[in-house]
Amino acid sequence: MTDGGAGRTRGRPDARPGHRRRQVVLAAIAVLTVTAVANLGLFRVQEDAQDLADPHRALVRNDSDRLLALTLAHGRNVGARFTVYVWLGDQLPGSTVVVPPGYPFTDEGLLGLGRAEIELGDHQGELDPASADELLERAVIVDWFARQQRTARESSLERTGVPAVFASADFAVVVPDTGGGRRLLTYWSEDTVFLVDAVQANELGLPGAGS
Amino acid sequence: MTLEPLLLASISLLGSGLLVALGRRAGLEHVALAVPTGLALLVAVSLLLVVLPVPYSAALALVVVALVVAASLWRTRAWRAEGTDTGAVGALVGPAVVWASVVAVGTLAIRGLRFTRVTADSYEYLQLGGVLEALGGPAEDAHLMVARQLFVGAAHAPSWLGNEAYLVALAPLLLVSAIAAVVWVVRVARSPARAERYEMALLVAAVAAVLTANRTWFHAFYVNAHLAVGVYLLLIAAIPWLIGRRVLPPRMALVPALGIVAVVVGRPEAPSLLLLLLLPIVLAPTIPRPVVAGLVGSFALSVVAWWAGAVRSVTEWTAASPATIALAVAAGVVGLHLLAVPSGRRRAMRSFLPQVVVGGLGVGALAVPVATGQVELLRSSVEATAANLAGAGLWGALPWTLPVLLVVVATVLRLGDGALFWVPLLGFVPLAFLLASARDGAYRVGPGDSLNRMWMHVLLLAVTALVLTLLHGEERPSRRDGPRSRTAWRGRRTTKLGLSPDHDRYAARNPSARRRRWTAPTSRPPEPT
Repeated sequence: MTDGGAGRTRGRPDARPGHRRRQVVLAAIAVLTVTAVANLGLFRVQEDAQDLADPHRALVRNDSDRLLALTLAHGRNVGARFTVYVWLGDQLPGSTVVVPPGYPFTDEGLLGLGRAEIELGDHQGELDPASADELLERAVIVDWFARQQRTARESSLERTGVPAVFASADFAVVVPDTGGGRRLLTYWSEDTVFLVDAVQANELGLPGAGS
Repeated sequence: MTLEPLLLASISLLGSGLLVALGRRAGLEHVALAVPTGLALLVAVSLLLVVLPVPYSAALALVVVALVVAASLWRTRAWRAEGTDTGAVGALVGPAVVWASVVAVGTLAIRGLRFTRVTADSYEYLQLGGVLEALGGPAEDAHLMVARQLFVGAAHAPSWLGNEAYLVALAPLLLVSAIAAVVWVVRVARSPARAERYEMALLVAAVAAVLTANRTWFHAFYVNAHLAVGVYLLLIAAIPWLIGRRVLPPRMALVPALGIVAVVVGRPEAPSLLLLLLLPIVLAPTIPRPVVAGLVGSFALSVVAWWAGAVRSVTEWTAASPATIALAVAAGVVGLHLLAVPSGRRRAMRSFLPQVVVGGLGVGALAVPVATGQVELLRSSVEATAANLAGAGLWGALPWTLPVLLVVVATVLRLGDGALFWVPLLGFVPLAFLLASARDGAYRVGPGDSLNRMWMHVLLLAVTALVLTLLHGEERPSRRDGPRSRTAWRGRRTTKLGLSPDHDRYAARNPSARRRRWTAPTSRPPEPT
């Protein structure tokens, strides 16, 4: 570890040069190694892998750490054509969203859009019916924005002063009912994203509705 | 067909070009520094375009960066080292081009993985780039300009040239640079006179501990500034430390100077955070004054350019904005003031000022919430942070072991000029809780919490400080060694040159290191490739 000069321990005839430092270095290597092993155990690779194998499992897990599973799922579908349904009660309005290649998907996508443009508050917060209706209106705008990125940015700039950069849809966002608001669940299938009222989802027996 | 491999390879090549102009040719240096340096230069040029009456565009920023690098290469001594152009060209064709090629191929592979994560926050950060491009100058939106800042938007803006929204592979490449930077700093710091038997084992264990953490990989695929800030904070602390040890030439300070610009426009709390890094640099006796002047100047100019030049366009202020700007201006003034302090007084200040600043931050973190009636906010933040560090933040075992290791190692070993690392590390914690008060929002339990993400800012710094202290620290005398030993040890702490004894032993074996003024070695420097 040392040539002896730096870590010489004085005052004790039997002290070897750099002995304490060597002990500390070896202990540090051991602790860091144990940390790495423990980290691997805590990484939840298994859970992420299961999510990959079964996207619906990822959908119903109200877990914000779905990095590997959801980003993979998102990436796999980038460039695909999605239909977004905001399902509130008997209504089943929909709007087609075209997602050009390279556009990002996120597990906060719709809600991120909602937060950014209709100010729903925190992305884990409540989504009241009025906001949900507005979100539905925005879904049409999303479609329009997505057609031409540049055009959308410029048009948005003219209207709002801030250009819209993205259009995105979402998988598996669970919006907890934090009081007064309507709880919405998002479901994803091969080419469709459903944003479903939790009560309706429960009646339909959809997974995660009871959670 | 995407342009991203070409764009990222260009950023890497431009960074490498600047490194070559600085006389750096080792392969590991290009892996560690090329992308961060190229990116910081791009952001610095973007800041200039935003502030100056020139229409901002990503394409123009890239062109200006290319011109700056070309001019640097043209003027560099290395370019004319052997009377021909082959020196610099050879260096560029060698490791720089090889690494740029790896970046291009790696970009394609990373794009194939589709791991990149974009959240609502990412959208907002990226949005400013769109606003700047559309307006050709600063935006009026206070949230974008003050809370989100320039770095992410400017760094990803080249992606629009390929009609894409962001650079998918930028964050993963920054992780590669981050790990390479840790290794590079440790390897460069190694003195040829000392055989470090455990260096490799220590490096492997430290890098493994970082790379196995869930959140490290989250940041590696997350469109935000956290990982970049972490890399730049490491370079801002470590490169001046290496210059102080005479193992890097003073001109290498250009890299942390650019990093400072990137961090200033990367985080709203950057001025106060950078002050914590600059304070020990200003007070360090081993760092040449021109280097200190350059770093403080970079800090002051970029703070003024962004906060007084760009953000002035904001018409709708948030409550925190004036306070942030005041803090920024204060940080710049204090930095300039310290620069003017005579060396004798500076040496005296070194013995107490860092402790006073860190202690003051700690007291402030407790006093401000009490004074402003935000005690509940502080309590919630502390509880949430504790829960996150205990496991909810998904940092694995790192929060359990790394702080303990740092404390234990610091009690046994003392690193010369170690204040460059420990002041920002210790000051970061109370600063984070002060920020909670400033933004009037408590931290929350969960991996997406702001502070939980901000730990990435100091993780690389902490790990590097740990490894450097273990490899280069002086043993502190224990009680068993007796009072005579401790007196003798204290006497060895400073030498007639004001350098650490460790450096003097190195200098005794390396004549070039004894010179006050750094000169390039006649042969290839003994640095790893």
